[in-house]
Amino acid sequence: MQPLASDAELVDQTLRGVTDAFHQLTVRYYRPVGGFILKRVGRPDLVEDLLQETFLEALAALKAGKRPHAFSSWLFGIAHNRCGKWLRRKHLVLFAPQQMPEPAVAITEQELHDELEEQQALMTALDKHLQDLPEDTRQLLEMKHREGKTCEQIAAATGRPVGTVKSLLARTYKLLRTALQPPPGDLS
Amino acid sequence: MNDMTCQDVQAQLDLLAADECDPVLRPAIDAHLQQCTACTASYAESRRMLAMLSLHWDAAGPLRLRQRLNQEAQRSRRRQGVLPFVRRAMAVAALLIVSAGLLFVLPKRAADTGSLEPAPALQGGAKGSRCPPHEPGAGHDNPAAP
Repeated sequence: MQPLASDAELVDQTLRGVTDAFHQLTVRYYRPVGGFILKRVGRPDLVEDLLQETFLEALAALKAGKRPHAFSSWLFGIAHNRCGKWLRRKHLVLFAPQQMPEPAVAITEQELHDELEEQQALMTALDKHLQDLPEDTRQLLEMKHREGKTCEQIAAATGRPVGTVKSLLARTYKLLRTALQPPPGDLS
Repeated sequence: MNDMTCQDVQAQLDLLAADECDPVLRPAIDAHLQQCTACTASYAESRRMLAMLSLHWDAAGPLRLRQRLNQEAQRSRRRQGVLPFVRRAMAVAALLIVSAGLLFVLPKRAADTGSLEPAPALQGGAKGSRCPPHEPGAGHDNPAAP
């Protein structure tokens, strides 16, 4: 099996005009950056737009000759600025006071690196917990979140009563939420 | 009537975030959320967790991103290809407009000045003037003219 290219190698290839290299970087960072944006803006419906803008800005900068010292932190910095721009543009008034997202403040490279690690750890934990679920429960979640089916559609497809599907879904969500919660004392 | 406790509401929050909440309970949950900050915070957490699940299974997300990057690259190439041509065309158009304007304005001005008093520079052969003063009835410069 061919070893995965490092970020620096992929950045070099992107700078030389190899477009597929940047695509590999997008696949590598799509979920962590998405999780980071989700945490910043608190609106699932905005994540994809901000993700796309982040990667577009990164590609434009690379094409202009920018060579980041550490690609991941640099990319998270772009995402952080994008979120900040969006929050300023919307003046925060769209949010209920209780749902107010974190304000965008200046952030150091170390903090960006920590954010990256936190998001990657979260995604890894999610992967692990999903793999530990019973097969039928995981299929149920996939039907809901990969295929976008409603409980009624899942019930019809699996031959289960709608109430059973909803109960199973609610139990699984609760299990995952508890498992993904940061340990007590970790206020980050 | 809003008689749901926080415990009742929190049991429904994940399903509410997944848009699978019982419609009968929905008004009472909404009313509760408007006045309970703890449940609202839990609801935000539920929404975030569900969004992470969607992100986890969103295999098409990177492909959509790739399409967008390709579209932007094409647009940028098109802009780079078209812009110099447009600039040149605009310069030629501007030149033509100025030339047409001069062709239209100058003969008219010459006709206007000819019907009124001659310009002082043309009257007495001012110093440095290249044109000789016009003599009425002196004929035309062109010998072939009658």
